[in-house]
Amino acid sequence: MKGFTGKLLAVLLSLSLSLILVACQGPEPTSTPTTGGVTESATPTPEPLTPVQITALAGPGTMSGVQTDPIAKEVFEKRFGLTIDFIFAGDKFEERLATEMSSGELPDLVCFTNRKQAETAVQANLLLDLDPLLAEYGQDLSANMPAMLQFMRDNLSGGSGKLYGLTNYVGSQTMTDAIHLALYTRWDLYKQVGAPQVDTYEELLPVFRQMQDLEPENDKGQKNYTFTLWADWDANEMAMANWTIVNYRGVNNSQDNGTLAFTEYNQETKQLKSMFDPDSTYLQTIRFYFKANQMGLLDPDSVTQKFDNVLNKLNDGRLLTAYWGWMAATFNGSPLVEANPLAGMIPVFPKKEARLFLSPNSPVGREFVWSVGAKTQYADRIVSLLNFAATARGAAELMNGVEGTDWSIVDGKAQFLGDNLEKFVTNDPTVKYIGMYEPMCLMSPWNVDPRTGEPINRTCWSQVIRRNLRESEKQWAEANGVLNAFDFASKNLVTVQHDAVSNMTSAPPDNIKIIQQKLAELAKAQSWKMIYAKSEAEFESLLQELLEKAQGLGSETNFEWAQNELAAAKEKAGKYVEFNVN
Amino acid sequence: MVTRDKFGLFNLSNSLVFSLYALVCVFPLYYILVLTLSDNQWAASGVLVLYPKGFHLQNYVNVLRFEGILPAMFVSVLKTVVGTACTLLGTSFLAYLFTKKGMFLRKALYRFVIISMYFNAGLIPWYINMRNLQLTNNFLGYIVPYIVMPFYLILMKTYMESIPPALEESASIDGAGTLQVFFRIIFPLSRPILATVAVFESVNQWNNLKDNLFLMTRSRLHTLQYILYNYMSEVDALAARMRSQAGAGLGSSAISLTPMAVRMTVAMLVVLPILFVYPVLQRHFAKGIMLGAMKG
Amino acid sequence: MSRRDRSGLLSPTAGKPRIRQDVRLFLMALPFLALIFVFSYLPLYGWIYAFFDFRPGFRLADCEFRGLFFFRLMVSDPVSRGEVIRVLTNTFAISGLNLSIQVLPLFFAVFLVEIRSSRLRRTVQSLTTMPNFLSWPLVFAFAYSMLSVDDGFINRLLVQVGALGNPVNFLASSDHVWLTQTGYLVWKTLGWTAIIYLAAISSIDSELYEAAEIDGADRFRIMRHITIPHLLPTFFVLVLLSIANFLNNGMEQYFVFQNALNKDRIEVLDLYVYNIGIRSGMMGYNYSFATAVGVLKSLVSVVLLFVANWGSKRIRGVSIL
Repeated sequence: MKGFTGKLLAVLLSLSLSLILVACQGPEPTSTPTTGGVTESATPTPEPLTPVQITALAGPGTMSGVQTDPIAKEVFEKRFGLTIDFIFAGDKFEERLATEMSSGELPDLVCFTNRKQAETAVQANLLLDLDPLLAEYGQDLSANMPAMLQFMRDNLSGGSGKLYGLTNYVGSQTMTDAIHLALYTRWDLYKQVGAPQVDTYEELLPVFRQMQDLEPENDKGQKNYTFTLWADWDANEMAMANWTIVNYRGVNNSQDNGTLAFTEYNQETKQLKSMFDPDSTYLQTIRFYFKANQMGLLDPDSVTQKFDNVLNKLNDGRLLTAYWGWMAATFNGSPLVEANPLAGMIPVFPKKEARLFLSPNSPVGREFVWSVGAKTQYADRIVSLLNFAATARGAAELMNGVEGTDWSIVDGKAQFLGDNLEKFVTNDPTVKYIGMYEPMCLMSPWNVDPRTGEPINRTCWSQVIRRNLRESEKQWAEANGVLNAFDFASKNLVTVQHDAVSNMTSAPPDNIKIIQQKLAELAKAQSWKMIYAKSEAEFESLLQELLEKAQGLGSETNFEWAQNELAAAKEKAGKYVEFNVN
Repeated sequence: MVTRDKFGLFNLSNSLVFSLYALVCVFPLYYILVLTLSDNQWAASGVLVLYPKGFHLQNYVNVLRFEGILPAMFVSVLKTVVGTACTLLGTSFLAYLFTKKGMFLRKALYRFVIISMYFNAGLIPWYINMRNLQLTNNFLGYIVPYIVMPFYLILMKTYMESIPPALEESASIDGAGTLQVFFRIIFPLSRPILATVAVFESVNQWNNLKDNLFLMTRSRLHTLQYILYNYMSEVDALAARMRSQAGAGLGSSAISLTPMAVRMTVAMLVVLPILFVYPVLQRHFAKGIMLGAMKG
Repeated sequence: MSRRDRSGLLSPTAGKPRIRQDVRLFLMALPFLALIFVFSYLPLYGWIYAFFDFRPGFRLADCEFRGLFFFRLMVSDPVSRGEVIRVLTNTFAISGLNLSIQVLPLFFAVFLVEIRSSRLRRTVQSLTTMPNFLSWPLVFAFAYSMLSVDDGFINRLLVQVGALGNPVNFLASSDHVWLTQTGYLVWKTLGWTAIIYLAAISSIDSELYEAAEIDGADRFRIMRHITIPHLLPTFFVLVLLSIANFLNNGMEQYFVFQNALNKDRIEVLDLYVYNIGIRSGMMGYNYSFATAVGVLKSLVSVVLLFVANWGSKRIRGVSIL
């Protein structure tokens, strides 16, 4: 026995000892001195504050432990006297939040991922009322986002009228010229089949068939497809239906904020329709992909693959279309297109169906809610920081890095300094903090920075756009007599403006939520089955099954609730509009 | 008789079947290892690679550069060693006590322990309980809850019952107390099952992420699993950001994800240490096999 | 004699009062039993949340009492009842198959020790445990790279040798899902579980083998009359435990392999509960619902455990618990 355990322990201990030695040579784990009690005179003044350590629990983002990146050092510590220790929970955030809440206390700073969580915390008295601090520490908040503050007081205070949270991504209804929602395709192939102008998405299918025949395989001999879909983004419905054709057609679904689930809101007609209406844009889109599959245009691995696989296929040149601006830009930035610039992707707009769908940010913000724990000692400093995040300068630094070292304004335009542009475009790990604090931006980075006239977000800086521009886009724009995709869309398409009413809706009550959860399981599975149906007849019978089962699970109750909720939201919408960028 | 079929048909076919199955078992791991050592374009393309193409160790170097990974490895090793040792001692001693017919309320207490395996209180009571016991942000939180593990207890008790009682009785007659009998006779004789449990439990300890995620927030208590999970979340967060942009109709920049190879490297890094410790433990439950195999 | 002594706790041997043997054993076990109580039984107060509309951060007194509402939630409408029947069918089928493969690790161990070359034996033993170290998501990633329609190695191989006309989407197929899932499980756990039996084999008294040889018994008779009987107690313990786990398939394996096309067959109870509830978070009804399902499953497990134990007593005359 002695020999056995002895040897075992010897091996394991020597292993751990060698690790200690290695560990000692490695970087020391950062420990920041915590000094308590400096609460007076905490406004961000030039004289340096003694940093205090606070704990934060944030649903979005991957911040873990005490932050030591340049933004944390230069901005949080030097200007606001805060060293932030993030509790990291990954995809277990809501569980982690629930455990913290049930212990009767929340960390100093919390970011909820939806209003339901914030509501529960308010009712459990775990959050601090921020109103008394606004006058001294939150002047920019009050000046820039009065509508958001009032919205939170009215709708997220458990009826008390106090201010318990701040939403992020608050923005104005003005649009920026970033075009994003369009079906993109390969310019070289599209040109070869004559670059036909079509009226509907369905008319594109034969065009794609010809293009796919022109290039059935990539250079590695792997099969090409026009469309590939993936299931790992599905939440309530099939995400890839909603975020492609449904959105291109100017119809807004609520998959993203999830409150009016299984409805679609036509931003043009301002009508709400049930997703289980046989005529819904969603079901039409399912039929569209069904037809694409019948024509051999759809990747047969769509239902089993993950988004990872898709990105690989995209970079290997195995896809003839991309669904969004960033996806096309990813392909256009690949070595393949570098070698053959005309293979870059350009948008195609079926004139009758495509819309220029502008969905700027709402003056009441998005789903995430930033709050301060009821028992914090440093509310003044935290509110000062949040106040900073509600300004254009603040959003610019949280979003793009420290001004002056990472980027600065040159000739009136924001620019990355040094080799940061290349590092950013290639996702270099040394600049991973750039963008890490994006969820903290209370001021939406899609707002136009008054100092530059361009959106705050680095991805829309003219410097970055120039870097990503390819020959294919230039040629396409020339052929169409326009400057760029946005110019084309605004001249040729009906413009639809997102009215942000759905942002005013509240979270579904529990009885509705239960119906939605069951409907979600049905809708996802059935949609995929329909797409892969073997024949028209099978498609129809699956459709009938979907509609019947949905009804049995209470789809009508859900739709009724959604209609009432939308009506209430429409009434509210007029009240919450005031917003300024500064 | 012993030599008759040394190279006989049975042994040959038996060895062949097992060898083939072993290949089926090891192939995925080998495949992943090869991809982590190959040029990253191969991992992405989905083309079958049977030996490293464009050999490089950069993936491993990258992963080993994560902030705090070395201290975390140390915590992981420490908790695995200490935790496994405590489980072995605690559970085997209790198992031994349960083999003693004379124990007061033996049957009821044994059931009391076994049934607990099927009870799951849920996340929140578990967390509150650990907090009340002050086992949050405390290294003991990794150890103490696992001292008695009902599943191992059953295995150990079953094993100990197969030890000839004569050995134990002779020691008792010599005047040895319960503890002495346990440490001098039962514990050494149970070596195979102890090694088995050590393998099982050390893998459990090594892989356990939940304790760290929910109970330990101090960075000096972070484990390797936690650091890797954090890193993988960064990869996923990038995809999640794109997902949310797709829904919001915004975003125009290109992205490049951390290649598949890095995911696989992370997976290999978790497996490799176990593979090194395993042969040490294997000797102890495989040793006795010789006896059985020689006859036949 | 003191009153305490008469109660039987102390016996006056060797002049000094000594605690009786049975109580002494009990006292030695007590600290360990206390651990079980503190870590496994104490938190069970949380089961009460199954009867309340529990919100994290609320005191129980502030939560609304809902009686059996959360226990009924899964079967609240006809469509859901149909779903539960489907899910239980899957659970029973997969658990039944899992039960029937319990015997494989035993035979695996018995035949493994018959390999002559000790080096080969050890190598095989080590290599066959490897799949256990791969997480399920990784197993899926590997399966995908082997079986996907266009890139899957196996698909291409089968088409090339002419066994298939067109590639088949194995991973999305709902045919034989129960069998293939059991196959993955066997592959992942067989070598690992066999370790338990290998440990048991190594405790067999070598004299037994020698005696059998002298009697002229051949390999298979020795297996049947010595090795296997020696492994049976362990085998029955493991069978008993897996009977008690009949409803608990776990969900990770089925979660990574599920997709819209095979979901009807692959969705076991644990996965179903996750899909319709826990997946969407801990706020609202979900926590109480998950607790209610947990309570039900625990009760079923314990009942099954005792029924199986009773059966073992009736049939084999041996009680395991």
